[in-house]
Amino acid sequence: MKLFFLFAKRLVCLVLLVSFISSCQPYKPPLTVAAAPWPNYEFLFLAKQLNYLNPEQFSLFELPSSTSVTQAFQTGKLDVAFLSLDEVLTLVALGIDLKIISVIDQSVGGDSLLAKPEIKKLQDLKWRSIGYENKAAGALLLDEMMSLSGLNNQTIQLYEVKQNEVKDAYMQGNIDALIVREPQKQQLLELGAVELLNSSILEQRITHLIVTREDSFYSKEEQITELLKRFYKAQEYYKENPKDALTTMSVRLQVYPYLLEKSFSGTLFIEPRDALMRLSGSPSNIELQASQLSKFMTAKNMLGKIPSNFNSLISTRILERVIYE
Amino acid sequence: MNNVNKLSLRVIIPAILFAIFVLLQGCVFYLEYQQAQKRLYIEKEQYIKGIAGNLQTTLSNTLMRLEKAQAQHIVSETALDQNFKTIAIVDHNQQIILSNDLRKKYMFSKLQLEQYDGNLLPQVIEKNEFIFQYNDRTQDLIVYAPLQMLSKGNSLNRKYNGLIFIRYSLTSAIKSLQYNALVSLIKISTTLLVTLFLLIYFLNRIIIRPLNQLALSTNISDLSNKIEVDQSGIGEVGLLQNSFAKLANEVKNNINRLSASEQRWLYALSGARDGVWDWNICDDNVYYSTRWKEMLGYDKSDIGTDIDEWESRIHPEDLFAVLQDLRFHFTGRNSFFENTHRVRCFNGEYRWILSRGQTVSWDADGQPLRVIGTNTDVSVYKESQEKIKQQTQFDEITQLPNRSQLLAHIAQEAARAQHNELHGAVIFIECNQYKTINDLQGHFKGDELLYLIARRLEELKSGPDFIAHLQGSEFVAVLPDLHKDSEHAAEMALEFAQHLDKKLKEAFIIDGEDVVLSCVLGIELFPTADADANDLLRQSAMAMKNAKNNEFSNISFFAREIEQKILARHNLQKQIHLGLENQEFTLYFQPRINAQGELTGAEALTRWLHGAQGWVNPGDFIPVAEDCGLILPLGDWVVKSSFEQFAQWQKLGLPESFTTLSINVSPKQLLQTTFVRSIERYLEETQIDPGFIEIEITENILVAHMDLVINKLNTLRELGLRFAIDDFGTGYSSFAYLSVLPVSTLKIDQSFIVNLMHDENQKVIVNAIISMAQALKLDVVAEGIESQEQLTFLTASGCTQFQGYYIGTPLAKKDFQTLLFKGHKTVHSSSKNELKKIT
Repeated sequence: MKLFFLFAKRLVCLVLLVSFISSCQPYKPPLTVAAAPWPNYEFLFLAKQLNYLNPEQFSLFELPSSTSVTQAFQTGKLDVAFLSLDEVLTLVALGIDLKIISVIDQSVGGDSLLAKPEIKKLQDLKWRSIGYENKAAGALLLDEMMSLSGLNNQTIQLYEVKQNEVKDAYMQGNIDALIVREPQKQQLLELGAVELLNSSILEQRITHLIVTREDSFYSKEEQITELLKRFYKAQEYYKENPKDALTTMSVRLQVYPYLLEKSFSGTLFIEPRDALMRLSGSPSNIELQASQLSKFMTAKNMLGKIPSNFNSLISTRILERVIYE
Repeated sequence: MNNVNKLSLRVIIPAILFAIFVLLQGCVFYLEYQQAQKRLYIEKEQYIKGIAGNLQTTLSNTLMRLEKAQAQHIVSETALDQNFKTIAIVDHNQQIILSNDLRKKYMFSKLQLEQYDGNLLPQVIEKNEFIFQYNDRTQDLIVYAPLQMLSKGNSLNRKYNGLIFIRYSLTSAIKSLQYNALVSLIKISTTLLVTLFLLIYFLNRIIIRPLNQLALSTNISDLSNKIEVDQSGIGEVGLLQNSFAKLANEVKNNINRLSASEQRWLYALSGARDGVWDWNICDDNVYYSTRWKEMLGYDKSDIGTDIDEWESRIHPEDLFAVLQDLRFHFTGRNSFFENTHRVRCFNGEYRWILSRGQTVSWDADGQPLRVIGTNTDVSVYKESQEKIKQQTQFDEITQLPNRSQLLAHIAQEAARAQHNELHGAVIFIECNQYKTINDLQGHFKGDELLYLIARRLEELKSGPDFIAHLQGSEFVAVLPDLHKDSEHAAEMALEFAQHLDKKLKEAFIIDGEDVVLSCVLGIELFPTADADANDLLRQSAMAMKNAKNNEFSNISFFAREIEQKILARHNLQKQIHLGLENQEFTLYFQPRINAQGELTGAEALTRWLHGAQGWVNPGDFIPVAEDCGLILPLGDWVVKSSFEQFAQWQKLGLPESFTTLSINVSPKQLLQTTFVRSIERYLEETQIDPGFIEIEITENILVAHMDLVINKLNTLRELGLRFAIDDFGTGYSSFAYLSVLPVSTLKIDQSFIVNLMHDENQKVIVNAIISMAQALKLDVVAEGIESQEQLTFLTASGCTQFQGYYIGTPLAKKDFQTLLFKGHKTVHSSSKNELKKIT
């Protein structure tokens, strides 16, 4: 009788325990990540290609432009997004709660103003049509071009051309100049386009970041950490096996590997420890950049509302884990 | 089954409920899950079909406008759902035009697209067919939707047609569904478990625990005390507790009553010191109580319970009776079994046991199954009963049958003799000397003598003869079946009696001394008409008495005359008694003279004038009075009356020659302890001179009680009284005592005088007596002188005093007084003359 009771009690405990454990581990949907084409972003897809990322845990969306990424992030379809600082500021201004968890690179020529071969210098752009994606990079380059050439809004025609549309737009020939970024820049240069200006001369650096939605930051920290680790691991792989990596990566971007290699030259990859330094401090490097950029963007009417505190947007925790674990 | 019965309700009820819940909930859950899955499938199917339709439209538009980048954008945007594994646009060459996976662009679809069936392409393109598939294994929804990619503006590309391939995974949805189902299952289970626990708790609290307590309170060994039952239960439990409490109380009362009654029985049993046995007939086992074992001296355990062992303990002589009694009980003849028998004890001795029992249960055929009874140790009663029986039927001293048995035997034999027409005899035996020996030498010797007589009698008897002892030295022999003819029988009886007499005369040796007995025997033959056993015995006793009185034979037959004689004697006893009361006795005085013819004295004689019969012969009534003891009052009366008479005469002035008033005293009277005292008293009362009084005693008394008599005589002699030996020469005469006794006179018995003149021997004897008396200086009185010759002879022989009819007949006091004071008229003148001549 006593034995029976003991057995029953143990059984009940076991059932409760099992149900508790299973309720603690519900079906976890994969971490959704998206990135637009950009050389240093490709390590993400390289990691997937290298099978560093378990498809059960990580779902990568290949979006053709950063605008699509921003929109997807904004609509909550993404947990993690690879975005430039201005895009991040735009999202913050829209009231999206997010965290900047790492810095990937700086554009040192990756963004360029390309023009048809017949246009040799900036002044030739007068009365011409210029296509650009309404983003900080484009705005900064336009601003630089205007200040260098003395042209203004009245003397040039501006068209919105998204990153994935630039090739079609250039080939159709309706647009005289385009503000493009890698790897499309290399594709257009192949088609004979002339580089008039690039981001390397810009005082304001175009910085690319990894951000995560704030709720995902807290609930999926492990997965995000894992993602970053795999990302940097793929980057390591690229450094060690550049040819192989370039070949793999070029397939997705539909460019030749040598062009992709050129694309990388327009970027300055920031190693994790460096990134951690840029994110650390009060105010941190990124904070200062954000503050500067936000002022510029506000001035250009690109931002509705300036975020008051950038510090709260930054979290080094995941990056620290990536580095030290 | 037992184990299940013993399981607590607190387990069983929740277990049953749990099982039912699990079963029902399992079914419900399964059905709901199936339905949810189906719903999910339909939902997703519609969703995918919608997406596909949407893509058909948008992509067709963009591709026909050659806005490939836009088309790619649409694809990529659409694929912003992790469940879209593949969205690809394939052209009729199986080339992937657009894909959410940019890497697959411009690749060969059959190779690159997972689960893509290239064979379906023509069907889709040519028949414009929408194919929808579900891969159950991979849980993928697959859609092939036709896509118009023809650009109207460019004729070269006009025939471009393709399809949209969508692979949508339901895995996450299903997992999610499963997860939700699991969560709801857990919620339900948790609720169920909590409910169950609460149920168990309340079940325990409200039902189980009170029931357990109730069960515990039933588990009480001592039911005789008040049973405390918790009655705080709710509803039916409370009702149960309440009724149990009532029941327990009632049971307690009943048990107390029962135990009191049982106690009574136990006390009664233990007080009765009875053992109890309980015989189970089926297995022939007997239970014995401790007391029973104790009775037989067994320890608690070492007695076998087998019924055979019980039988073996019973005395073989009693076993038959025991078994018979048992049989009688079992057959219903006796309602109880009861038997007294001997049972062997542990030490081998037998004890008398009164065993009683009764059958308490029977089988269907009425055969006894179980008998319970008691055993009582009746050894002591039995022994005393035996002893009493012995005492009532046997004489203690002689170990011979006693009177009651004798009477029974005589009755039996008489009846038998009558029936057989044979004659038997009852012989009554009495030994004369026994009483003397008993008195003189003590009861012990007397008893020993009786025992020896008894043994000798027993030696003499033959088979059917019967010897009994009555009392004293009285024995009776019963001789049955002697002869048909009564005369022959009488002869045979006589022979036997003579034989007995002869044998009994042989000396008995007691303490080294020879004792010789003489016996008298009375014989009565039976059967006789109108005589029962008592009569026969009495008649034989009469015969014996007769023999006693017979001078010639000590054996006598009973005759009717004897009986009458004895009856007369008995009658006489009564008359004497009455005579004493009525003062019918008077004193006569017989004169005694000396040789000179002078009146020297008188002998006081008793005369009885019976109211109806006139004068009664003293020879008839004196022996009777002696026999029945009336001699004592009579003798006393004689002494007293004589003294009084003499006192009167003394006052009147006695003649000088008158010196003696002689009074007869019977031996019994003399032996009386009060005799001396009464003499003293009468002397004092009458103030007579004791020197005139002469007391006559017989020789016989001297033989039997020499010392006692000598002492008494000496005492009386000191008072001044004189003594004469009466009837001298007839009895057991010893010259020795003459020197010892304070005797002054010898009275020669008249038997010597009667034939004195014809028998020379008598003369010699009388001369010898006279000479001896003279030598011893004793007076000699010759009695019964009836003639002058006698007187002359005696005077010549030297006899000094004379008495007899010739001298003078006994005279009434008045006449004697006249004689005394007025001369010697009464004395025969001739005799006086004769006397003168002699002198």
